[in-house]
Amino acid sequence: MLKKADISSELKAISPVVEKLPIEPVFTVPEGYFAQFPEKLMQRIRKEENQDVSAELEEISPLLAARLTRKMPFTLPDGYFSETILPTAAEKPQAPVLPMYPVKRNRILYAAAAMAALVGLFSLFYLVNHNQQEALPTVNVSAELPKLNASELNSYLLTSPDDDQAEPLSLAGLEEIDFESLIDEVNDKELSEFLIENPSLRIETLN
Amino acid sequence: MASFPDDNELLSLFRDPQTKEKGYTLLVRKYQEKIYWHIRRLVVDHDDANDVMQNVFIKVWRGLDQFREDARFYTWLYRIATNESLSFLEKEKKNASISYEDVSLALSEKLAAEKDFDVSKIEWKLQLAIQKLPEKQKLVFSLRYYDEMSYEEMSRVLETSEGALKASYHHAVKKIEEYILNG
Repeated sequence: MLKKADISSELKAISPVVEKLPIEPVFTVPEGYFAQFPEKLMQRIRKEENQDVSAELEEISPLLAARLTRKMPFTLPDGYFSETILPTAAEKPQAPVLPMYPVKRNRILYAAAAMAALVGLFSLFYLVNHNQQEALPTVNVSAELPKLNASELNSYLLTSPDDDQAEPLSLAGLEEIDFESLIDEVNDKELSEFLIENPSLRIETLN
Repeated sequence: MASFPDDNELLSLFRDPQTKEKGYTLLVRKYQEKIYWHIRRLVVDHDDANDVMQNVFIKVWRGLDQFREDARFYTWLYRIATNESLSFLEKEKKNASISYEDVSLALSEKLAAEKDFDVSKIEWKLQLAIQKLPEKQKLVFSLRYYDEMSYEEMSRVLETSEGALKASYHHAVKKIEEYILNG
């Protein structure tokens, strides 16, 4: 009560007029308000915390609360929940381990892949060329040369005079060719034209 | 007037899950009238006071687990109630886009709409005088005059120095006196 007396004397010192004013509340409150307030408050708290679902539904719709059932009308395959549908720990795919420096590691991988590709290309190129060389048909020049006529041979020799690889005529078995009969087959006109076109041969022939 | 266990006992009941609701309900019963009148004097209308008080006690329900034992529950509760009331008034002011003077006028009009309002009666004239005070002076006067709160407790509730509170109270009383005598 000391506090109340202090407050009263303080107020009296400031304003004797206000000190004499009534302090009773002048506002009215609905009847039973304070008696009901705690329970109404608890109902609101329960509702907000969703603790009492049935009471909430009862409040919103007594019809639904009374008549509806939570039983599901759908059906499931037999043993659906009893069968193991989740993978076991061994079957469960492991989460990928991400490298700490993926860019650096990728560069190394790319370099290795490029090297392997180059080696592969060189190997392929070598093998292809080697096989082609092996696959070339071999020709028995000695056997084939007699099949050629003199004009073809001479034409070849004249058009490829610097070909060091060319086989000497003596090796081609030309000694077997009967030049006289060959020349007999060539008329004078053709021979004259040939000598005119190849004067060096004419000199050799004359010598 | 009903007697209630002391605050520490009620807080112990609240912290036990088995007796949480019981402890809380007893705390509400113990303080509801004081808190209600504190709010009502600020917002005037009963429905508004009811809404604000519900919000106050819901905040108590949610925040009581974090309540520190070194603070007085009573002070903490008044602080929540004061802040909620001021937030409510601020919201109303924003919704109506009105100034402080208009808020004071709106609250005076709410007072005049009360069922037993009679401007010739001194108790209603006092209420009109209170509504004309600036917000801080209104709070200080209400807590000191009606709730008989010490400046030390009021300092914790309003987070203002005791000296400033004494000055505010002095100004408030003088303004009310002026209104009663000449208003």
